[in-house]
Parts: sequence; structure tokens; C-alpha cells
Amino acid sequence: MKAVIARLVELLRPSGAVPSSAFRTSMSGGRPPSRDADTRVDADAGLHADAGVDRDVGIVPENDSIRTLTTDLLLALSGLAFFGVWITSDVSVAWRLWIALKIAGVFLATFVLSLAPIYALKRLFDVEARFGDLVSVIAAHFALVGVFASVAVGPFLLLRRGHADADGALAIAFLAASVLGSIVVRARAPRRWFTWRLTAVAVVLTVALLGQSAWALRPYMNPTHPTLFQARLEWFTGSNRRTAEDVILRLAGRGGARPERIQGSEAVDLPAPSASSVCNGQPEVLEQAQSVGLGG
Amino acid sequence: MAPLLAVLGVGVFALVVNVVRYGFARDWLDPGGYVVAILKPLFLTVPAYLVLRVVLIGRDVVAELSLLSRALADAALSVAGFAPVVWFYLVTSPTPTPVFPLFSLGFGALAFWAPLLVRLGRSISGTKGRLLSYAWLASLLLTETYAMVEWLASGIEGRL
Repeated sequence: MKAVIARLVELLRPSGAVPSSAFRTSMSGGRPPSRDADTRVDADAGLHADAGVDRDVGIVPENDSIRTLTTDLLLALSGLAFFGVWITSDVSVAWRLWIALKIAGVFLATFVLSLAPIYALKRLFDVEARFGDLVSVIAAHFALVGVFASVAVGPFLLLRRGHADADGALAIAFLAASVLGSIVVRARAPRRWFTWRLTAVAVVLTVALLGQSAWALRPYMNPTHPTLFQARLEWFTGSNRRTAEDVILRLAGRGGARPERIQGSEAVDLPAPSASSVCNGQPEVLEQAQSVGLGG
Repeated sequence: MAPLLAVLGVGVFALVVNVVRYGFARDWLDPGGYVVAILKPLFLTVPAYLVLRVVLIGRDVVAELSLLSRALADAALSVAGFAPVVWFYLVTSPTPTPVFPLFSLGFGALAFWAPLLVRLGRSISGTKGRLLSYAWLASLLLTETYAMVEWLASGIEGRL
């Protein structure tokens, strides 16, 4: 518990924490850290002493990323699950717990799926940091999202209107603000892992994955009342997709009649899809799929 | 080794997309054709590019090959790294099954070519003969776009 609190303090005050001695050496081109830097370490270690942080290094040592990773993921998942428990309008405990699991699952899936692309980015841009440290930093971001989401429960309960659509949008807004807050707070950290361009790529990637995970797990306020993500179904089955396909055909010099195969359930060479097969059994999506013309 | 990695990386991506599609629609989209469409312009132009670099600019063949290998390995790693992401995207998007996975396959090409171009562009900037390299990269990009558009159009028309 003491370690979790120490980590929490450290996460919330990244600008107060200072790099470990190994990092300072690498940043100063191999020269040993200056006396001023050491003084700064001691001052900051004093600030963190009550929270149980190692006085000699000021922050958790670099080779301890596994421990911080566990703590960060724990903080993230518990904070997000706590948020999930309170955002549903349903009074049943089972449904609240289900939504809590879904919210935590959205972020856990995003975390896991972002690792391979981040590793590819690290290699491509020759980032010298260890991959384990990068994973730890990503987990720290998610931990902050969890912390912010858990403290957003109070304002959410104050602002909620009892209407599923409005409350759903409000919950999503609070989560988006938590993600933004995490990025802003971590940007104040003294350690720069990525250049700003690479950071932008990583953020876009993670946010896109977050959107997809949210769409996949659909942590709706009410199971029979879909909210914002529903619009995506229309995008993929509506005119926008057909426009994209037409552009490809025109670029390839094949601007003739479109084949039957891509025009939905009238496909001639494939069996017509059943709505349940493409909706993973989600009743709200099933309803939407049937409304856009897929078989039942 | 790097060309093999490139084939493996793109092949893994194509297999992931194909397996998911096969599971949904019982339709096979020719993963081999996708690998060929992505890698053909590169493999067809690299020998000529290397010869020109050596003859006109006097570059070391081994150094050039090493640079290309590194870029290919990075590109292969990138496209393979995005395979789980696209798998997740495909299995969680309620796209109607007869629809050709245009965006997923297009994204795979992007995930391969962007790192390749970035790595090659960065390594040749500021070096002698960079005009030739930039011209090669531009022609590579154009021919790759053409090959990929052709392949995607075939897929949209159901001719794969």
C-alpha cells in the first residue's frame, strides 16, 4: 500500500521528480552529474521522503520498471473500474460491475495492443531507451488516466442528468479529459523519451486504439440505448465507404459498373451475412445492422 | 535475411487479414498476391538503384546493402507489429462481411512503406548523390501506389 501511495505521489508530480543518476550521466554526454544536480536530487528526495521513496535517487530507479509497471497497471485498472461502477444508470450491481470491467478492459486492450507498434517506432527512430522503460512510461500514462477518472466520479455524479444519451456523452467527455490530463501532466516530466513528432505519432496511435477498443467493448450507459460510437457502423456501411471504393476503382482505370459483391447483402458470389454474425451478439448493433439492410 | 524478413512481415499481416476474413465470409483474398503487390516495385528497382549508386556516385555496395537491409527490417517489423492491431480492428468492427477489407489492406501497405521511406530518406539526407536516391524513392512510391491500387481494385471487383 505504501508503495502504491508513493507511486501515486510520484505520478502526480512528475516535474518534481528528477532523473536517476544513470539517466543524468547519459544526458550529459557521459560526464558525471554536476554538484548542482546532486543537490537537486537531495532536495527532491526530501520532498518524497515521507512517501517512502528512495532518498538516494529521488524517484524509482530505472531498473525497477517491472515493479512500477505492476503498480501503474493496478492503479489504472482500479481507477477506471471505479469510474465504470458509477457511470451506469442501471441500479443492478451485476450491471455496474460489468461496465466497470468493460471500462478497465478498454484501456487494458489498448495498452496491450499498442506495445508492438511502439516497439516498431522505437526501432525505426533509434530511440535508445530500453523497451521495458517505454512500456513502464505508457503504463504510467494509463495510471494517471485511472487516477483522473476515479476523481472525476464526483463531478460526474453532480452533473449527470439521468438521461442515458446525455450521461453517456458526459462519461466519454470525462474519460477524454482524463486522457488529455494524463498527457499534459506527463509532458512535465523531466525525462524526454521521444521527440515531439514521435510523441505525436504515439499519441495518435494510442488514441485510435482507444477508440477502437471502446467501440469493441461498448461500455454503454444502457444496453438498449447505444450512444456515440454507434455512428461508425453507418460510416462503414454507408456512402462514405462506397466513395472510397469508387476512388480506388477510378484510380485503377476501372470506373465501370460496380460489382454486386460489394453492394451489401445482394452479393452473388458470397453468402449473405447474418446480422448476428457481424455484431458479435450485441443487441444494439444487431438492431442497427438490420436497419442498414443486413439479414437477420 | 532482410528480404526474407520483409516477406515474412508482410505475409503475416496478409495472413491475419485473410484468416479473419475467411472466418467471417469464407472468402480467401490471395495473401501471396498482396505480398507480391507490396514488394514487387522494391525488388524490381533495387538492383538498378544500387548499380547507379555505385557507378555514378562511387558508394560502397556493402554499406548500401546494409542500409537497405536495416530499412527493410524496420519496415517488416512495423507491418508485423500492426498485424495484431488490425486483427483487433477486424474482429471488433461490425463491417458487413461481403465488403472487401480495403482499409485494413491499405493500412498494411502504409505500415510497410512509411517506415521504409522514413528510414531511407533519413539515411540518405545530407549524403552525396541524394538527388538520385530521392528520385528513386519517389518513383518507388509511385509504382508502389500504382501496384497497390491495382491489387485493391481487383479485390473490390472480386477478381482475386
